[in-house]
Amino acid sequence: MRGVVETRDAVRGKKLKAVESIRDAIRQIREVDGALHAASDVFEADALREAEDLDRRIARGEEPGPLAGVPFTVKDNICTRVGKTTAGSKILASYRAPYDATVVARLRAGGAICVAKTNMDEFGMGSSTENSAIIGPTKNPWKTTHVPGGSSGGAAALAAASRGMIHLGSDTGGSIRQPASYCGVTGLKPSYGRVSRYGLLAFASSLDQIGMLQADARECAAALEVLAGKDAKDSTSGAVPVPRYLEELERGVRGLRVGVAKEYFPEGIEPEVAERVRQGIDTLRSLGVEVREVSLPHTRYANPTYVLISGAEASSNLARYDGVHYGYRTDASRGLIDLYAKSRVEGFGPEVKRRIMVGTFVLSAGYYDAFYNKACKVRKLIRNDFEKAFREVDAIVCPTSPVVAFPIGEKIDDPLKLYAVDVLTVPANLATVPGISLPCGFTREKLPIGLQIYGRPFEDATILRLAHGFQGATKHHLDAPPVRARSS
Amino acid sequence: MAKAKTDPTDGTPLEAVIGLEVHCQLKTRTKMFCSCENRFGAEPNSLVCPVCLGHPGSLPVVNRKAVEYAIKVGLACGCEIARFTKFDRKNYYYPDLPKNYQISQYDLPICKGGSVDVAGEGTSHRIGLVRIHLEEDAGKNIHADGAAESWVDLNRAGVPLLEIVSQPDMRTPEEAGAYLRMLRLIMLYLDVSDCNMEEGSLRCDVNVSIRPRGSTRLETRTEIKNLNSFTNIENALVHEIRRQMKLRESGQPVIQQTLLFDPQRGETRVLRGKEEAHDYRYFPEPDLAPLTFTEESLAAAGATLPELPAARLRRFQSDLGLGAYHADVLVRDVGLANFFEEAVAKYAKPQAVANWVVNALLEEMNARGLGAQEAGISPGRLADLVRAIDEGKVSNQKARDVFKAMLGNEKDVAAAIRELGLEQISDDGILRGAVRDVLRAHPGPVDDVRKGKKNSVNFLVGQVMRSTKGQANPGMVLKMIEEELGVAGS
Amino acid sequence: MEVTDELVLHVARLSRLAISESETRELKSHFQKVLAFISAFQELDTASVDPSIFSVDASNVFRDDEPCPSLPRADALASAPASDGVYFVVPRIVGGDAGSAAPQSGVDKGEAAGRAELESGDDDELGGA
Repeated sequence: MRGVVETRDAVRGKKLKAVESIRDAIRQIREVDGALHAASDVFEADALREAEDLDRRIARGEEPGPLAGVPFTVKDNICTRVGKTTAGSKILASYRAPYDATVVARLRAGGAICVAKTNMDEFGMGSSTENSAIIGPTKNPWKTTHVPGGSSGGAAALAAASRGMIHLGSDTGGSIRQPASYCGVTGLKPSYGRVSRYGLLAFASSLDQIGMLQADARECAAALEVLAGKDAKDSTSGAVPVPRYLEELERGVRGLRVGVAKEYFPEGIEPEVAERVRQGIDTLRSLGVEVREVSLPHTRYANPTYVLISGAEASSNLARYDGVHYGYRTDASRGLIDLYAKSRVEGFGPEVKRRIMVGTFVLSAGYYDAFYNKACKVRKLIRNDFEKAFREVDAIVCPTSPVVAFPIGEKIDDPLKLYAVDVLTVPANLATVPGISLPCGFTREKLPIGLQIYGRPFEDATILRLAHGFQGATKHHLDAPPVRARSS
Repeated sequence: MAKAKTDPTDGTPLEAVIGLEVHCQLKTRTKMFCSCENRFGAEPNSLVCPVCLGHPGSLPVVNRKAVEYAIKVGLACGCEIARFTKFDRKNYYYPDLPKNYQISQYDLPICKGGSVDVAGEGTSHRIGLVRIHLEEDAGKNIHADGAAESWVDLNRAGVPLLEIVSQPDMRTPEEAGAYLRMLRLIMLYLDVSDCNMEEGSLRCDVNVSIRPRGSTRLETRTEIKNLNSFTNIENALVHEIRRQMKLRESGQPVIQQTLLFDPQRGETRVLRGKEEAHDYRYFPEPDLAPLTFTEESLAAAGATLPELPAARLRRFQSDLGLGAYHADVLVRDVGLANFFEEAVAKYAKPQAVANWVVNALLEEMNARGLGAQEAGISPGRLADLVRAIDEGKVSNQKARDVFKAMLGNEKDVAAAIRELGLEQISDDGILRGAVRDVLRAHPGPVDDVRKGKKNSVNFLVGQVMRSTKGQANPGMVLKMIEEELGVAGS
Repeated sequence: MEVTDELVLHVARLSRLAISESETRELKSHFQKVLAFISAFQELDTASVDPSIFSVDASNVFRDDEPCPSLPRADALASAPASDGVYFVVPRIVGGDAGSAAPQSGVDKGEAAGRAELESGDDDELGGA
């Protein structure tokens, strides 16, 4: 089946009409939707209209863009003018954004066409997509009784079950990488500031990044080339030149130094996960990559630090959902304060309320120093760990998650159990470094296992190279799940 | 008696301790964190965008000009400009605050310290500043008596605000008013704000307590909000100081409260107690990068500062020789002072020019509610008029008519004088003729003059003026009469 | 530290969440667990560490003072749960007495009053079921 790069080559080469490309994408999404529940909305009419328009422009000889005719899906916490932007929450169930997020605008300017919004844990809070308040959980295409991971579960499931589309996701503590690993796809969280956050419904402003879930690293590189770069509307986006990521992939991996930290193979990690990841490290070695031992001593404090900082920022970022200017407003209220309190308690799901409460608490009078400020100091220590390690190595390799996809309902009643699956992904967000997850094998139950690579800030090219090199020597990323769209 | 009205503590063993918290809208073209126009009086909710509406996914970006203006104000007030400063979120829920947090500054404000000198009666008092910081304004809530709803207009949401906190260095309501006036004047000189209390670009809250004169302890204070005119500020302070003095007299404590002033009734009433301090849950704004300033950039900013009111006042008096009253009137109105200086540049007689600017021009401006630049006469033409008077081309009395005739047109002085037929007769021959005629016609008064009655000279001068329809040069006439009658000049 | 009902209710008030009695119970237990979890790093000595509060290296990221077109009012109000086509409409902001003085200054007067009321945090309308 056509991948992203093949599709754009075919459309640009006039061998494939954009309309055909879009039709095929929509067919694929619809085929698997009954089983997977991955898309929260599909835009057939709008997408076909845009495709027809693109075909006309191509016929006229106009430059169609580097992603011409490539369909893309957008996680539902990223603003699109088309359709709704609900963030998986009742409080935004009917919200229509008055603008396109910068990433959406850039993809469209590059000739790509939006075909769907994808399902997610409410406001990005969750690691299983079970916290999706409007359409309910998404299923894992490898085993539909299991979760696809979260919060970008819809994007991950679709990326596994279809071909030839770009799937935008967001990652605050692992929300791209962890579902990528559970669904056997390649998910990239770029360096903080590499991609604009303008139009991403903020969860934790200092941790959030938009990225993508794809069939392989090459597709991630193709998408990143168009998405990356300074955005005047996002003060946190970096004014760092954007490399030609696709070209960078060809530099190979020989001579790169990769670190392995014992702290990233914690107690409780599933043995099959540890085994496959170590095999993956061996594979890298066989490709000429130098493997060294490194230490990131503050790793075990990363998850508590993450829970605290993300909760604090979220409590403030979600304050705007109050039933006044947009979104859900309660029917029954006596007065303004009641309006706020009832709209929010009715509109938010339980996990969101939990995180808001914890976040409000750690910022409240008397607790700021002991909690929020202290967490920021620990974040500094974690960043120092990475800086030190990256003096010795160019990348760090580890498992993406200590576990693989788990059954729906297994962890949802114990929030802390769910937080625990993020322990190996949250450090990247805290340290602002890029992280990519790629498939490195399967469990005996044929559930995917993810290998994760961390890089230096703004050295996304390095981790893409390593992932691409690994995928050149392995076939795990080529396996297709039981639930998948058939070829056209 | 008048003093007691404005300073209830006068003559008592108590003194008032007053501090002001001023919010000043900056006159940038766009809002603090988005590119919506910063304009007063537009149709409700027409100057908004996803950012200032607080829409999901929107992000703030700092307006460079607002930062430049804040630095200007800080330098003008002698503040220490922070080399590293950042924004913080102030979290609270309110319908005019779309994000339910205000982007403000908490522990590292852009300016610290500084002071403003306020002129009193022959004295100058230095009022210290605590800090100045930048933040975004909120929208407007509109209520109507009896309605079950309120209405929200977010045009103002996101407008850049400068918050200026003073030390509690003021001791009388009058001094508080003078401080606010000087602060406002500095802003106008810097051209960073319109400082218009009616439009809300200048807002003020006051803190006040009383204590025994000479004590240095700060006692319990109350805060008065919603003071929207200079008069209300002073009246509210007078009322509140009196109220606190009465409490003290009767042995009751002052309770820390926030009060609202009702200008109709001239009294304050309690808005809320301060039992629970606000929990704004401040934390650094993660969507914005910090600001850093180098010595060079601050020096460059300082070099662009215009002359400030205090310096201008001094210069007008010492260099241009103006009296205190004229200097003060001019300095208080930037436009007027600029007009004056332009006129003096054309005709370097500051006192004479000042006289005309402060009287004739200002009266015209006040009558029609216009600024100096709109009154209808250019500085150059006014200068020409003053020159013409000095050169004897028109008499002082008639000059007012000429002034009026020059308003709203481009006529030069000579033309205006000619048109009104007011050329002052300074021609020797003509005058002497007129003088001789009058002397011949009034032998009685002539006799009186010879006898030493000086007043009769004035009568004779008056007669010459009458006969020449007021156009004779009175100075010359007087001299001629004295010459003709052989009496010494007076 | 101990998590009391009062603390949970206080935080709920600050968060503008009208939680029910059962939610209060559940949140109390969750709080206790989360506090224990996030207190793991209390053991670290961070006295000499500068807090890492920004995720960007840059400073002085500015925008020029040039206006851009605003949203058409219809678009601005399109998502509003209640509007009259000109304003956002909300239930009357508490502080009614404040509105009774000089109507022409009702805007700022009520505003200052209402704002103060709501900022105070001593609104008893919230709290348990």
